[in-house]
Order: sequence, then C-alpha cells, then structure tokens
Amino acid sequence: MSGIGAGYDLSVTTFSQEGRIFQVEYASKAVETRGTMLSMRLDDSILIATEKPTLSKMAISSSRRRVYRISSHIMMGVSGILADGRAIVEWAREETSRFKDNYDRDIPVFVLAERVGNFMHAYTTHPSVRPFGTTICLCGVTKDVQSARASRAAKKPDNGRPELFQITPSGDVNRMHAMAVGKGRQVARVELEKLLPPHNRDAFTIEMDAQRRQVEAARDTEEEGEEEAAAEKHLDNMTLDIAAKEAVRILYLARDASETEMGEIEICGIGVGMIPTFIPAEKIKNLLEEVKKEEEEESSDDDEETDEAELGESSETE
Amino acid sequence: MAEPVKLGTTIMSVKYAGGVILGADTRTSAGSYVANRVSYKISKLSDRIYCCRSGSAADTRFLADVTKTNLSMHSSIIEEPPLVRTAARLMRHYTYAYREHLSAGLIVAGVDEIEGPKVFQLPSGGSAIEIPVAIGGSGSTFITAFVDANYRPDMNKAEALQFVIRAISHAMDRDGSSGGIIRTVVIPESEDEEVAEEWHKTVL
Repeated sequence: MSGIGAGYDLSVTTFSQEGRIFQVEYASKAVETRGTMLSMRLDDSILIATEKPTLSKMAISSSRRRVYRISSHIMMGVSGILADGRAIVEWAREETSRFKDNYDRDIPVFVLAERVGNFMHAYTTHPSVRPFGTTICLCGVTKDVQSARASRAAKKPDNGRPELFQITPSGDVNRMHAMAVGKGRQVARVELEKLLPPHNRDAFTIEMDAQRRQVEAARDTEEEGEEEAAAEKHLDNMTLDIAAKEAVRILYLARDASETEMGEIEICGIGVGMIPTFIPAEKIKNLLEEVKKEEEEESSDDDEETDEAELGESSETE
Repeated sequence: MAEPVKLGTTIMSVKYAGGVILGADTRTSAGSYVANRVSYKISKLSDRIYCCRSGSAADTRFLADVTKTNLSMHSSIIEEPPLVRTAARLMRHYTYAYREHLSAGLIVAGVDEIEGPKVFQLPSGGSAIEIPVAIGGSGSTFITAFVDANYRPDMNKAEALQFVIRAISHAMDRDGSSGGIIRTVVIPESEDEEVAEEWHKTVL
C-alpha cells in the first residue's frame, strides 16, 4: 500500500486522510489528457469548439461528434470520455422534455445545469459505480424575468439570454464567461482571458447595463473612423462568425505540437433566436487556413524584429 | 341531506388592457339547500395567479390546494414567480389524469412578467384552452350572448370590472343555484399596483 493513493484511491466511498476522493480526481485526469474543448459566451450567442484527434483515415470525418443538441434552446459539449458524456446527453434530453411537459415552458439553463450536476455527483457517492470521465459544457438560451426586463429596457423583443455552465466529474457547476478543458486548456485559457469583456454585465442591474450599452454605443459611433482599430475585441462585442475564427485560432495555438497534423475541429453555435447549428466543415477548414497564414506571418514578423535587435546589439558591442 | 356539496355557480374571468379580473357569485348548495351564501369560489395559487372554481366543492378545493403547493415548489426551483400557463398546466395534469372521477370546471387567470395577462379555461374532461374571456358554472349559460356582445379586449380596469359585475348579476338573477354577492379579484399587470380582492352587490 504505497504510492499516491496509498490504498485510498480504489473507491469513491472513502476519503483519503487529507480529505480527497482520488477516483474523482482521476476522472478529471481523463478530461485533461484528451482533446481540447472551449466555449465562449457572446452578447447574444454561445459557441462550443472542439479539436478531435483523427482516429483513423477510414473513419468518416463527421463521426464522433462532441457537441449534442439537447433541445431547440440548449446544446451540450462533451469533453473527455465521449461514451460517458453521451449517457449524460441522453439523460439531459429526457429531463428537458419532462420539464417542458410538466410546466409548459422551456427549462431555464441553470436549472438543467444544476440537475446535470446532481446526476454526475450521484456517481461519486456509490460504491458500485465510477464517476463520469467528462467535463460538460452546457449552454443555451434562457427566457425568464431577467431577459424580459432586459429586452424591455433595450426596447427589443424578448428572445432570452445566453448562459454557459461548466460541470466537472465531481458534480461542480460553474457559471462561465468562457471555458477551456482538455490537453490544450492552459494555452486556451490564457487566450480566452484576453477576450474577457471589460465590464461584467452579470454584476450590473439590467437598467444599469442597458444604460452602459447606450453610452458605449453612442461613443463608438462618435469615434468611428478615428479610432476604429482601437475598439478592442472582446466576448461582448464579437459576432458568432468572428468568435468562430477566434476559436479556431485558439485551438490552433493550443494544438499538440508533437503531432504532425491537427485533429478535426468541430464548432457549434446557439443563440437568441437560433437553434444549435453546426458550422460546416468546409468553412472551418478555410478558417484554419486563414489562421495558419496569419499566425505564420506574425511569427515571421517577430523573427525579423528579433533579428534586427540582435544585429543592433552586436553592432553596439563591436 | 345526502346531496353532495356543489358550487352551482357563476364564475368568469376577463383580460383587460393592463391585467385580468376574476369574478364569482357566493352560493354553495347541497341540492336545494344553500349550505353557504357567502362562500369563496376564487382561490389564490400564487401572488398574481388565481383560479375560479365550479363543480364539486371538495374536488376543486383539492385541485386548487395541490396546484398551489406544486406551483410554489416550481417557483423556488426556477427562482422567480411562475407563469400563468405553468399554473394551468399543473392543474390540467390532475384534471386530465382523474377526469373520470372529478367534477370540476375551473378558470386559471393571472399575470406574469414574461407573457403578461392570461386566462385559461379548464372544463371537465381535462383540456386547457387559453382565451381572452372565460365563463363557467351553471349560471354561465344565461350570459353567453351578453358576454359575446359586450366584451372588448381594450377595456380599462373600471370598465372591465363593471362588465364582470353586470354579467354575473344577470346570471345570478336567472340561475337558481347562483346567488349571494359578487366577489372579484383584480390582478393588474403593473408590479406597482396591488392585487385587489373585493365584493360587490348585484346591480340589477
């Protein structure tokens, strides 16, 4: 009985002496070692992007999907062990349709997120089961009092507001601006943090947020032309198309450099008045080409700069 | 005295520009005996959702109670006030499942911040229909044409209240098992206005 777990890592029903449950931590490892998945919540839409390692040349490229439609207003991204995730997808679909049947309204995304969390947590408390080896990315559009008030303040029809949740193998549920899991998560998280909006709209009251947006919109139109380039790109001002390219860029930067080729990228978006929609593979391929070219140009620019700097330095010493 | 206690009744609910109004007479009878002449046939389901009850007093009280508890639990889960359509759906669940055993004609009405004022009629049999103006109970047969001729969706609160009082007065005048006074509940759409539970004398 030596090693990391020291005998405490065989069952989810026993805490270690430090108060850890090793099997649950190992389940998280199953996510960390597999393909990168990221998600971004934009102003009125959300996207999930994943990189799937190529299994075989003979496999049809659209197989082994990682993003699933739960209903017309919710989609779910599955990282880690795909088969584990599909069991959750199935359960979530049933729960969603049961809610609609019982209450004659769409399930709010946070309610489903908490229920999926409870479902996954149950598998960390029984001796005869193992935890799910997947981190779930749950996103969708919630139509509620908050969205009704917000759209009334903005004088727009109420089609709901986007919500994004991350649910880990332990059953933890977190509301996110953006998220990244899997092999390339560290690089991806650094890139995503750069895109965080300057204002946290969840911290404002609806009236304050509507006011802020009006002020910013007025300022933006004033400054148009002068400082157009200065308007910084962030989650709250990106369109789904721009975000898709950004997602491809991040996955490209976070790719496993030891592999000769990148895995296939899958991107699915959902939004206010838009059901879960996959971006066509052809379009993603083009985006990847664009990104590759841009990144190569940038890195060659960097090289030139460093070359000059080195030259300058050497001439000085001479 | 072996007759079951019935709400031989007139109930109605109307949508107006800015809210809904529910109205009912107050006679509860067991056969020809008036068991209560000032009964309450309008029950509260949530802060701004009420229902009118007709049929068996026991059945409809049970349905209102069970819907009220279910609705309050649902409201806790979604962390906001419930929709009127949710109240109607919860009630329909029971009226449909036990349709062979129940004697209940109900009207669910109220306002919510997402969809505004709503009225649902739940006749015996287990269906639920959304309509702008609903009438029910034995007395309603006498005022169908009156309601058809006089209802307008653009009525203001005072006009709508007068319309309800007049309609129920006519029904109480003709229907032997409707009588007593008229109880009304006015539920305004605006959060700033209070819900008003009142009673009125007949106007004929």
